[in-house]
Amino acid sequence: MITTEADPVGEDVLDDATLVARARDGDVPAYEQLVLRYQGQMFRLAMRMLASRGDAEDVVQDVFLIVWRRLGQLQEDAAFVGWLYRMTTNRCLNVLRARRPMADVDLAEQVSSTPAGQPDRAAEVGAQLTALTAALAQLTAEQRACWLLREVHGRSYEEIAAALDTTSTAVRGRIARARAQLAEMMAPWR
Amino acid sequence: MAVNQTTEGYELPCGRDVETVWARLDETDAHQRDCPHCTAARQSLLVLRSLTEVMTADESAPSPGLTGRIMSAVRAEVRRGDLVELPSAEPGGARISEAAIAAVLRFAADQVPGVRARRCRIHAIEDDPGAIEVRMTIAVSYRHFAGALDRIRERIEAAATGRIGVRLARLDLTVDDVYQP
Amino acid sequence: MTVELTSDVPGCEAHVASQVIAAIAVRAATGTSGVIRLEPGLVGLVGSLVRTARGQLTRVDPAPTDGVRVTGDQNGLRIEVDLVTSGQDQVAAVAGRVQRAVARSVHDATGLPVAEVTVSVLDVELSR
Repeated sequence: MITTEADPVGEDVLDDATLVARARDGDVPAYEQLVLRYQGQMFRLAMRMLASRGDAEDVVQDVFLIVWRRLGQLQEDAAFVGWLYRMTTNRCLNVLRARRPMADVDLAEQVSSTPAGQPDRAAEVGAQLTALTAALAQLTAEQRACWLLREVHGRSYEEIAAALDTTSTAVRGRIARARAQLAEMMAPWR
Repeated sequence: MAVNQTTEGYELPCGRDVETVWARLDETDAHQRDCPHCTAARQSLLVLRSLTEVMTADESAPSPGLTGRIMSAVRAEVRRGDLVELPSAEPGGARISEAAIAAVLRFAADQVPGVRARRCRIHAIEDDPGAIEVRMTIAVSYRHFAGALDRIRERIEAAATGRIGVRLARLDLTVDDVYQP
Repeated sequence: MTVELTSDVPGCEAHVASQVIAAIAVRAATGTSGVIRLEPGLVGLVGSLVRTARGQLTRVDPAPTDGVRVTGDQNGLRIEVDLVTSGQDQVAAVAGRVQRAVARSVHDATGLPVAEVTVSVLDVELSR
């Protein structure tokens, strides 16, 4: 295999494939680099799926620990990020299923408490995103997952289909329905 | 443009599909100019797209303690079976995990210009306490290729004895990547 | 576990809890040159890992004796220490220093014989 790339500016900036290969051997600092690199993305996905910072952090913590344990099962070092997204998505879906049955409808009204009993600040900073967050809460969990993974995180249809154990066609359908519903909810803001 | 049945999006009263309006968001055509449904849908989708861009650019971070919690849990998972005996004069003995040895040897290999260590597997040798077998995979730059392997062997040997205190009985080096310059 | 200390005074018994011995060992080990910290990897998870209501894993009683386990009896203590060393010192040399420092500190403090000190190095910190 031949790659063409310049030497990194700093000795410390290593590509994902190298970090994953090292982490597979038990290199803890290499894994920490991967955590720092991807915890933000996974956190934002989980936060928008669950509308709770605390629950999102719990999911991210669990995912990175389980991935560490199962690194030996990873077929290709390049598949690492896709694997993170799949695992984060599925844990979020499990959390949502475990909540009360009407969870998807109530999601917009759910208040997640910090230990002090104060409600969390809005899941998004800024008034602009509040409208979109509220609209996302009206979608089903699967629609929200498909839409976020595609429109915000830029994942491929194939990868999203694998994550949700369905077909690319079904994914496109969910995203189309999600988009139509979101557009309808954006109407007051035109 | 024919409505794509597989998208199963919502049909507007005029017969057009919302996904079609989305696909053509930055263009317009005769139908759209005159159709209040398409115009309304287009406006809504423009708002949606703009807010999506804001959300995509957002960099909300988890609380600062999260990385620490993750890494504590990760460190606690080192397995007992991966320990290599170190020579020790004191009763009770000393051991070092294979992962720690690998980290030291990878670091040593990285010090050679143009070399990036990748995988590093360590095995203790059964009948030879204090000795190890190393299999390392590396990437090397074109510019530094000549002589790199010898330099790496020297560094790894020196690190095994000097940094750790074990003897390098065998070293297998595999170059699985070359890169510019 | 408590271990009985020898006493010269008739009618006077003394015991020391193993956590105390562990704490002495921790102090000696962390004070040894070349040791970055103790690491609760294999032994000494004081209390157990439990799941909180939110499903997080947390240690019930994060005592400072994590990374050390004390077994044995008054005929000889067996102490296990798990730690992280600095990349500046040879690992085997640091391990030997820790073995000697722990044995000496525990014996000086309690008068008990230390049969063995086993050191396990779980990580080497290369930036320091």
